[in-house]
Amino acid sequence: MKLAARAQMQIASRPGWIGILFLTKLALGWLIASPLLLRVGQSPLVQGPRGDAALFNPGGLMLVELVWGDRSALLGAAKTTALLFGAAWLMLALMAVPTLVAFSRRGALSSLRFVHQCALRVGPLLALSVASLGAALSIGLLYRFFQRGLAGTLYTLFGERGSDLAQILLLLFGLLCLAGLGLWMDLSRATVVTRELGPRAALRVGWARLGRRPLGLALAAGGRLAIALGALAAVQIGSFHLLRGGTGSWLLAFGLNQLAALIALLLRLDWLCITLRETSTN
Amino acid sequence: MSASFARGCFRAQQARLWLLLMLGTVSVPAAAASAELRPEDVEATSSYRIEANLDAPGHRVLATGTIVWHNPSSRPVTALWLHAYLNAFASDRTLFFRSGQAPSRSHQTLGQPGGLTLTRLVARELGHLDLLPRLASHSPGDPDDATDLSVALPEAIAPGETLTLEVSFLAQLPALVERSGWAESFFAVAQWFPKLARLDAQGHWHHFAFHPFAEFDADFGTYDVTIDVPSDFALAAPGERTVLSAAPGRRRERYLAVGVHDFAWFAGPQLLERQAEVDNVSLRLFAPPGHEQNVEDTLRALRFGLPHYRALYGPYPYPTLTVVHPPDCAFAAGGMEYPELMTTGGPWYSGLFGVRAIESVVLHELAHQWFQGMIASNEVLHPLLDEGLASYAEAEALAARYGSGSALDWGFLTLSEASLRRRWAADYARSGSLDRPASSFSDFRSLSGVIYGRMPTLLETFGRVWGKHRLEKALSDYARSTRFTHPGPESLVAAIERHLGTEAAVALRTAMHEDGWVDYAVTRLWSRSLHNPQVERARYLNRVEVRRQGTLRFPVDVDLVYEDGTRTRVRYDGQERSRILETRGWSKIVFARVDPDHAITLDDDLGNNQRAVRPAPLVPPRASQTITSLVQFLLTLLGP
Repeated sequence: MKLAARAQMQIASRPGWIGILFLTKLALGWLIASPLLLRVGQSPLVQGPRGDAALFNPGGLMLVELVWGDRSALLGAAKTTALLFGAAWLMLALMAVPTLVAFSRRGALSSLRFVHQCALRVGPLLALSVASLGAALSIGLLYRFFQRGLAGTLYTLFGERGSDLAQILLLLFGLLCLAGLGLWMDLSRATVVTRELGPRAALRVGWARLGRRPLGLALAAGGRLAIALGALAAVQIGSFHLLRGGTGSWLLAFGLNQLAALIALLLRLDWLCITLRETSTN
Repeated sequence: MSASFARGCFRAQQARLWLLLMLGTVSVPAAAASAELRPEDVEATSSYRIEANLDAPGHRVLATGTIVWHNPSSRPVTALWLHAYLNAFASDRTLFFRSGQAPSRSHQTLGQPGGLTLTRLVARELGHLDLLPRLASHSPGDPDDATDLSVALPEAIAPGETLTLEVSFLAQLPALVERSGWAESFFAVAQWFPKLARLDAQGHWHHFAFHPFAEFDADFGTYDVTIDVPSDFALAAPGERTVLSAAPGRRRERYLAVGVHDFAWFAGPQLLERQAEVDNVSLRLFAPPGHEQNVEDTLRALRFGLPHYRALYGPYPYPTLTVVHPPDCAFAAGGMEYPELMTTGGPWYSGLFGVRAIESVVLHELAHQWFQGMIASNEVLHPLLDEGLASYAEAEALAARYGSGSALDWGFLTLSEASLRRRWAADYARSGSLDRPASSFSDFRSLSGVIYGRMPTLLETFGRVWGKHRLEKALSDYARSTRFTHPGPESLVAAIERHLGTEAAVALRTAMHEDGWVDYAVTRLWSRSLHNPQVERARYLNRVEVRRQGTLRFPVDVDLVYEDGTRTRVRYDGQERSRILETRGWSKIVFARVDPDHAITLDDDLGNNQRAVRPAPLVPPRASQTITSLVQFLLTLLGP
């Protein structure tokens, strides 16, 4: 099993793996949401022939009734959901290993070799995931520190509206830092797979690759993210009124939402293929 | 006394005589008669002429003037009662700060204190007698509070007689706690002068110490106030404005407000003024730079609100309306009403994101121009007539203007004010009667739940049960017939009875004087096979048990759904505690819902309004697919 030629690192080369990833995320999505959903399902407000369609009525009478009236139980369920999300993140960090290996190799994958290749990279990739999480948290803490520390000064300097706008700029800068970190980590992870390097060396190479053409890579990742977000928003908003209808309507909404989820997944994998291509050559 | 000030007082006297004649001799509908009343026709019982000078660095107002008061009662008066509200901020031991767990609506504590010092109080008609030595040093029975002060008179003032008080005072403004004070260079000068309490026709003084939950109950009069501020300050005050010549570095303006019962003003260098005319009312809008969108939203709300309220509650009778949007540093001064002036509030981005924050506060404070401004009920004793009716008017206007998106409108998702208020009301179910003094509430949160939440929700229920048009007529009748008077709750009950009927009046009385609540529920549903379907012309006897709990009674519909998908609707008059509703048919009943159109918005628990034979799916399908796809997306963003 050899590293694939750059041109072969395409998402079309592994449709089966895409299917596995899609179904895994669907199952995980449902599992993570289930504490909230079970709580909603227990509410007498969703009883009756229309089921939970009333939650989506204009004016939001039942939605307010549910969210406000059942807020303590829903908050409890949301905490469980957050814990499940953390566990799912760990699982997906593990799944990143076979995903990157699968898309970086050409031809049929022998199970034994595939497992071996994955085993070789699982340590460095997990280390990078943990480092990525730590760095993201640090950025969050730094943002909070500056946001609180500068609030008074910004108000004095720029007044009410100016200080709010400065705070928004600070937030955007924080998000930009997070996005940059994401790009760097994706390139570093790809380097671990394509060049069989340890985490430190991979971080160095990833940083160098990012520095070589930062705008091109940012546009490639950002463009795909924007398309995915746009698809999700369009479908969520566009299909909202369908949820007030009968079974056929919500099934159509479900189909549209899953189509958006699939588009988002394909765009994400396409980006990962770009990182593999980007790091496969010197 | 200036000419226009005197003219206002004279016209008021004439109007009073005319009104007495009319009420005594001619039987005309009260609404028709008083709807004609204009501010200048109103009895001017307490009129003020004040020259005020703002010492901005010292955070104080130095003032002199006269108070012209005439005895409107049928009894001689041997003592006057003065509200010195500003003394509420003299220390943290005053009634204002001792009351409730959250002393102020804004939850702010006392910073730099303030207070009112009277330096001159002379009774002109009593031989220029100095009344200061006769002024009580504290509120009755409360040495820590000096907001409710008596002045013993050496001789009685006979009914109809006039007393002129010459006053000088120093209003030391506190660091802004709530309605009064300074924040940075912004000044909210409210409750700043010695104000006479209200004397009713029976000779009873309505005086009270300043409580954080209520303050208004005063006689109408003419306020002629000249204000002198630094020249770089904008000045926002109620009434007709005349710019006067001033000393170098100062700005001096005179404001004349006729037929009002209070006067508050605001000043600061950071306020920008915009003028407009809506519904024949001259608007002056003040806001800090950067709040242009809020001013636009305010103006839009006023363009709708003024004609809307005019149609419902009678014309806005004053020539001007001043709106102040306080800067962020003075947010606690926001959301307040005074005659011919109101404050809004909120950050510069309030109007973004589809939230109706500005419209909501504007329509609420504008409604106060009627409910408390002109219809000058006693806020201290009957907050339901003040905040309760203003909250209903606000919710009704928002719904009329914005429909289902009256609280939030994202296009695909809308939330209505009625939905939010209903839920708020339900949180305060069984919290006691609606008609009780503001001071009887343990904190402002419980007052707001009952008065701002339950009172408008009760009226909304009335409208949905007995017809919105009839409710509008009742409120219109109440508003027009009590214009420029001091009505009590019975006036409202009487108007409700006239237009909605006895059942509604009983419900309102119950809610006002008892713990008014209601909860409808479907408690059982079952079917029994009939022995002889051919003879009975039905295969099943279906039964639904519907229950009403609580002290309030409303007729409601009940929807019944059968196994074959057919539906029927039956009526439950709500008089009995529970009722078993029976239907016969070819299919078994599978579901029942009481109040399917959500007419009883006051229903404390909507969760028990329906019952199904079969349980609902474990996981709700629509919510499931929405939340799941969002989680899927997040997983894709963070994982491979």
